[in-house]
Amino acid sequence: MDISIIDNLAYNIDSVMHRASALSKIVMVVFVVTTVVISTNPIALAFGLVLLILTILASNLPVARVLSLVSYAFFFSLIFALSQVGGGLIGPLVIVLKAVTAAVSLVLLITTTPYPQIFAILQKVLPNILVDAMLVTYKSLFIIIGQVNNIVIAMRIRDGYSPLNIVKNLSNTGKIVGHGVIHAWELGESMQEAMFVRGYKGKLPLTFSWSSISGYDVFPLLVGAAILAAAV
Amino acid sequence: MSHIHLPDGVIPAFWWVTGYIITAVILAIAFSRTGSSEARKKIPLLGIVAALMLIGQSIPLGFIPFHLNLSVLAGIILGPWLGFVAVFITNLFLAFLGHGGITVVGLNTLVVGSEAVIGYLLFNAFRRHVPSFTIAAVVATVIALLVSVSLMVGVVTLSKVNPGLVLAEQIGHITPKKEIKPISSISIPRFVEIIAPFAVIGIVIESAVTALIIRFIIKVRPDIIGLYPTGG
Repeated sequence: MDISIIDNLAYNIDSVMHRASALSKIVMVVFVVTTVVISTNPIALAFGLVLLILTILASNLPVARVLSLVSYAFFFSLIFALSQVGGGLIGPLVIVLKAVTAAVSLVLLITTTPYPQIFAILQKVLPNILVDAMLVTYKSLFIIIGQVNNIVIAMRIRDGYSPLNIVKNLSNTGKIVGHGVIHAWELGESMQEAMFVRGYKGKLPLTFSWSSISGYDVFPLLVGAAILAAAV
Repeated sequence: MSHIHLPDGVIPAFWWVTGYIITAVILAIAFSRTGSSEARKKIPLLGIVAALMLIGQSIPLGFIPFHLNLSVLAGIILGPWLGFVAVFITNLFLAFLGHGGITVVGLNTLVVGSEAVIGYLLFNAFRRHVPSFTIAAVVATVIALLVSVSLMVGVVTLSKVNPGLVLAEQIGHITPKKEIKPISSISIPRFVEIIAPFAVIGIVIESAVTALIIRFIIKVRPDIIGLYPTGG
């Protein structure tokens, strides 16, 4: 889970993409996903992927690190693609390009946009309760990942993991996750109290202002529009 | 367990749009059934459980193409409606991280969400008639996962998800048919034959881990799943 790295990239790097508003970058993603859905042209999809990678470069992001985030999409699309090799190369190539292009656009969004800005836009279209729960989920990930890492280290130190003893491993895994659930539950209870003490009334204060839109927004919009135009 | 790892652009638009519409309807019912005040109170817990599921779903177990979903556990802890909401949140986050396409979030939520809903209902039905909560959790999880695997196969069947077939239909519109060789396709029974061994292993692991977690929770904090300490 690379959440902390994503957060670091979104907050601590400066570029045109980072300065653009979340809204224009979400529109860019919508353009790219639309392209992926409607296009079966490998050249148009490859153009989109190359343009997105160039945008990652222009955003001062570590290209290899960012692309490693889409390894899941690449891996699973490759499985599908390999199963289709007998039918020619265009189909498999299109499958991989579709998966990777869409995933890169999403990763570009989250590595150039601090998460509260994304949630502020989502709050405009999704129920407040849902967005609040997503925000808590995101914040909790950092805490729980740290706790799970500590517990796993403790388990290994205390000889709780034996490569050949599946029953023992399953039992200990159950206890670890159970411990994690209880710890998380207690954390949730504390968070609940803290939120209500601070006057939570069903909407966390996330603000999107139209004034955040600036000339920088032209860049992601152009990237998205170019990718879509190439496919149409 | 039955996460559909399909990239964007493979499933025909009709099916993924239908998936989103049904998911939106269920989410709307979920929020109305839980009542805004109750849902508001449970937001931190919902977020924490979603974060736990996200961690479980993002860690492949390595030796088989499988990861824990913890969705039955989410249903048992949060109840069926909020459990379904937690499943939606995790699927949306996973899509942003390139783990499954953004267009299949709706279908994935329906398939995985069924585990939360059915798991909750069955666990509560069995625990009144079965002497051991652990056994109730195992049986509930096994049945819920069998249903979700069946749903996944149903999605594959209905949407003609063989990517070669889908792409052949689409590519056929823009290139001469003679250039497209017949796509090597597998029948649904053959597909079931292929996934069956992995599904069995996955169901065994997920039910064992879920039952062990439930057993641990009952020992330490039984109130989390609506039980109260017996004083023994």
